[in-house]
Formats: sequence, C-alpha cells, structure tokens
Amino acid sequence: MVITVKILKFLPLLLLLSCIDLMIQEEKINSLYFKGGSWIEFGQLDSMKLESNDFTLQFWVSGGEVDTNEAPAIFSIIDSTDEITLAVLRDANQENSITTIINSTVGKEEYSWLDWSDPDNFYLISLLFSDSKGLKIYINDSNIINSESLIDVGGNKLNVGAIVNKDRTILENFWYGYIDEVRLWNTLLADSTILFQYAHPEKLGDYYRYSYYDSLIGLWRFNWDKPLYTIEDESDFNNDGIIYTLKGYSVELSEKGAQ
Amino acid sequence: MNSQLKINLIISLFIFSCTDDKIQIISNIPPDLPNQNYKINLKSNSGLFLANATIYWDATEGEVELYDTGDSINFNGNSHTFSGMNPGEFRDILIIVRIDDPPYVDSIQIFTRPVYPVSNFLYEVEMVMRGNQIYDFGESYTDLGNKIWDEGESYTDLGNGEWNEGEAYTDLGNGEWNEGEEFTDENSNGEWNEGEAYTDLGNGEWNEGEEFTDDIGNGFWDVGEEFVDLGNGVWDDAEDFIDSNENDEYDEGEDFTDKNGNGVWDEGEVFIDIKKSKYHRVLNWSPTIEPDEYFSNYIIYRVKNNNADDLINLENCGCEIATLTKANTSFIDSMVTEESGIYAYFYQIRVISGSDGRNSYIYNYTDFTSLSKVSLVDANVSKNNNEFIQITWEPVSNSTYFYQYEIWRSSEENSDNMQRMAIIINPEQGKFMDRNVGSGTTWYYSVAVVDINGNRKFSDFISGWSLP
Repeated sequence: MVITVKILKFLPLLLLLSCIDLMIQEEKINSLYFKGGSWIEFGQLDSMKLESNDFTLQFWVSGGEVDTNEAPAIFSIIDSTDEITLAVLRDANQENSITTIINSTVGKEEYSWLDWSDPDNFYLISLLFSDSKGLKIYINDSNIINSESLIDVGGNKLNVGAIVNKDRTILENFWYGYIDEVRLWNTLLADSTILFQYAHPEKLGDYYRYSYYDSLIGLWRFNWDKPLYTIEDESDFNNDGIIYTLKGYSVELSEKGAQ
Repeated sequence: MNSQLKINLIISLFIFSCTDDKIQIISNIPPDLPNQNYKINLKSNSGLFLANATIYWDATEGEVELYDTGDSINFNGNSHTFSGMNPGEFRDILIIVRIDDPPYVDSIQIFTRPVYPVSNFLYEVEMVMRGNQIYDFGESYTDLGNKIWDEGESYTDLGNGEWNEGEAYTDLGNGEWNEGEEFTDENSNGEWNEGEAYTDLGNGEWNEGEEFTDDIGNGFWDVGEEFVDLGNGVWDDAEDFIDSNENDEYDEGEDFTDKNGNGVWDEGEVFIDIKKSKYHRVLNWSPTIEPDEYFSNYIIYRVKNNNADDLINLENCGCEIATLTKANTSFIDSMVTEESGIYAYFYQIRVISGSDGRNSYIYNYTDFTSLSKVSLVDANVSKNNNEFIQITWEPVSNSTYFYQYEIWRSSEENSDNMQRMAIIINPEQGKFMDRNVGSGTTWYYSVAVVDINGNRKFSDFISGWSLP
C-alpha cells in the first residue's frame, strides 16, 4: 500500500521520463510517403549538370495504396512546349506494369516480378539517358528498355512525384507510394555499378574512386529526424529540391526503406 | 481500489502514454498556382434519366461547337441537356473547342436508362383442395322427400326471410291426394273425391315395373289400382353400377344399385361437394426502383406453355391478367387451377413508366436456342485514347430471345469485384465508350449478353487502357 502511494506521487515524472526515453529511441526516417497531391521540384537539369549531357537518374521506390484512377508518376521531365520528354509511371490498377513516356511516346509493359501493391518491396529504377547515346532503363538488375531515343533535357526541370511542367500549368498524376532515395549522376553508370547498387541499397558504388563520385550531382536520401520541405542535396553540388503539396494533401515521413 | 489494480492502471498509463504513432507530415502549398492548361474534361450524367442526358465540359473562352450525330446543336454555357430521348437510347456527340490551333476535338457517347424492371421475379405452384360449388356426378347428397320445397314446409332461412333454392326444409308430403294413392271411397262412386281419405305412397304415382293389383284384370295398371313403389326400377344418374364393358357409362343390363327415391340429385338437395386438387400460381418479385413520379403500374401477363413466345411481343399477346400498384410484390393467380406443372404457364411482369415500359425476365422459360456469348478480344477494347476506353463488339445475329447487353468493368484481372457500367437494350448496339477511366489506368471489360430468361453470358474480360 505504501509502495502504491509512492508510485502515484511520482507518476507525472515517470510518465515524462518514459516518453523522453522513447523519443530518444525513435526509429530513423528513411523515406517519404506520397499520397497524391504532392511533388518535389528540382532545378533545371542544365543548371545542375557539369559538362556532359549524359545522365543517370535513380530512384529507390515502392508502391502504396492508390485512391485515384490517374496513373501515379515517379518523375517527369517536360519541355518548354509541354511535351513530356521523359516520365515513368505506374498503373493505378495493374500492379505489375510500368508506363514510360519517352519523347511523348507512351509505352506500357507488364513484368511478373513487379508488384506495386507491396509498400515494403522497394525497387531501384535507373534511367540512363543522353542526347547522343540513347536510353536505357533498369528496374533492379533488369534492363527493361534499351532504346535509341535521344533525350534532350536542356532547359527542362526535374519533378519527382508528379507530371509537372515548368510553370506548373500542368500538374497531375501524383505519386502514391514511398520514395527512399533519389540520385542524379552526370554520367551513364556502368551496368555493373547498377547491379552492385541493387545488391547493396545502402551503397552508391562498388568501390571508392573520386572521379566516379564526382559525377554524382544530386543525392537526396530523406534520412531526416524532422519534417522539412527543403530537401538538401547530400552531394557536393547543392542542388536542393523543394516539396510542394496541394491544399489538403501532405507527405509523410516514413521508416520504410530499401533493405 | 486495491493496490494491485492501481499498479495495473499505472503500468497501462505508462505504456499508452508513450506508444502513440507520431506521424510526421510535410505540407507546403505553393503560392499562386496558375490555372491549369485547358482540358475539355467532357463528362455526362448518362444512364440517370429516362428521357434526357446532360453533358458538361470545362468552361473556356474559346468557341465551342456541338454536334449530335452530325447535326449542329445550339446551346448556352458549358453544358447541354439532350431531351426527348427514348429510354435506353444511345447517341454520339462530338465537341470542338476552338481555343488553340489545332482545336480540341473530343466525343462522348450519351445514353438514357431503360425503365427499371422488377427483379427476382419467380413463381411457384401451390396445391389447394377445392370443390367446384356445384353438384357433380358421383357426389353424395341427401335425398329429401319430394326433393323440392313446398309452401308450408319448415325451412332454415339463410338470410332473406323466405325459402330459397338450397335451403334445408322438411318435406311434409305435398298435402294433397295424388292419382294412385289409396283412398276411402266414401260415396262409393269408384273414384277418389275431394275429402276422401287416402294413403300417400312414395312419389305418389305408379311407375313402370312397380307391383300393382290389377283390379279390373286388363293386365295393365290403371289409375286407382294399388301398387308398391320400389324406386323407379331403372338406373338413374348417380346410382352405382358395374361397368361391364368398361365404357365409363351405364348400359342397359349392367348391374346397379337403385338408391331409391328417384335416384338423382335435385336442385336444393344438400350434397357433399368433393374437394379436388387445384393449383395456384404464386408470383413474387422485388419491386422496381422506378421513382414514384414516373411509375404507373405493373401489368401481369400469362400464357400457356406452348405460347411462351407470345410474351416476347406483348402488344399482340392478349394475355394480360392483372394490373397492380407499386405496393404489390406478389400475386396469386387462381384463375387457372387445373394444371399442376410449373411449366404449364409462363408469366411476365411489365413495369409501366410514363409512356414506356420494361418487361421482367420470363421465369422458367428456357425452351429456346440460347444466345451465344459475345466474342471480345484485345482489338475490341481500346488502349490508345485519351480520357476514354471504347469497347466494340459484334451484335447478336438473332435478337428474338435477347433481353439486354451489360457492360461490366473491373479494376483487377480475374476479380469478383465487378461493376456494371451500362445496360443496353438495343440488340443492334455494338459500341460503348467509358469516359470514367482516368489516365494511364488499366480496366478490364466484359460484354455480357442476357436472354429473356435472365441467363447471363459473360464474354472474356479484356483489358483496356487510357493514355496518361
């Protein structure tokens, strides 16, 4: 009885201390969870690049529940005439397909191993494009597109999580799902590097070489401990992005991430 | 509160106070979002009304032109209602918006709904025991006195204060002398005179075959000669007989039991009306969802088994048996009671709404060549249009037993979660345009054909896609 009274006396303090303890042990944020109506704007690719017009754009993403019948877009690059230069979307109803728009040409393919319905299943999507060497697209270690299409991104912005043009008069096809990491390289990565990255989600490459990493002009990992709408570039190039949301929408911070 | 309980409470508070999922969110609304690039966003309320459909499009500064099956339409604003349509009618509408070069050109299929029929219509045969309320050959009866009621006889009045045919009465004899009855010839003139005593026997008269005393020896019974009335000595209707030649009727010479009296049932005699098996048809249905302001009535039609096809063309059927209100969800047909078979008659319920109507399925009717399922392949479902998916098919070659097409849609392949998008009652229709598809999204379609028995055959489900 005496013990109980003592516990009651110190109850508020106990509760406070216990909460502090749990907050300290809080899980690390790994990804952003998009639920429509949200996107990330980056600068013009021209202003981000170094010398080359060769790019590798990479995403670690997983799907999530969709409550729209607009195909969610992982990213888009739209030219000044509002034609889509490059975009990748998933199908709101078909969990095993991926849609590409390459210089306004739409294509869709199904893959038995693809499943956008599982939010814990992260995919490494790599797009290697150039204005002179064609286009390759990988999902994980599978080369799904090998095209001669030349991709000229001069003057165009990179938008992640929606189809968005430069002045935002096109703003649609918002992403539903998780984005763990986005990388932009100013080079065409080797196939072996992509295979290694897929096998080691926590690593950027299979060996340390200064020249190799010099081409990493954007690295956005979302490993935060608090909500931010400015996404700091963790490469050396300060190509920060900004999260925007429509009224009534938000982006969630999530512990989910590529394993 | 005991100490254990307090400790448990504290532990619970400790746990629950710090295990809330703290969802951290980011919200950052950009200032001054510009107007979006113009899109027509053509929509309609097709399928909602019986006689009209309205299309809507995004307002624009540009010039808009509308065409209904090639004819230019005058309109105001950014919508137009097409009225005066027939229930279940489909039309193709073209819209051109001249705001940029080239202009926006789009099309939409509009349609009205058919009258809502009743659903779950079925009937069952119910056996009942019924007499026919009239005396039939072979039924038992009580032969009373002279078989008719006479003035002065007591009777059981069933209501109107006088004796009526069929009311019970006590026959007291007829109270007067009849020829052939014994009498006391008081004035010895050889014949019965008023006031002389007599014995009233049997039916009061001599009949052929009855024994008599031949007083005057002429070999014949004469008026006044005594006789024994033994029944009429011949077979009458209702008397039992042994049908020797099995022709189901009495023939001269066959044995029979003369039941005395006159051996036949007479008007007014009590009889036991034999109850026989009769058959009612009990019809049940779920009411139409036709709104009250349009609903007029139900009409029930019935045809005999071999005339079932008459229900397909009710105008020439002449088989209407009842008109009912919306409150009715069942009907007992006791007009045709002789045949027991479930297939003896076929029924149909028609919902009358405004100047149109819609038949039910013909329950149980399957004696016709069933319709083939629609053949739907990849080429029949579009994958290359913005904003819509179009489904085309080959219409049924013979529409005699056609009831309707149904367009079904599912968001997943091989899913039970299907949605019926439209009902098409025109057997010649071979196209449906789904404009509620979003962009870059796959949908799976089937065209089901339904026959007049309600049998539904789905085509294969084929995927369609709209461009992102």
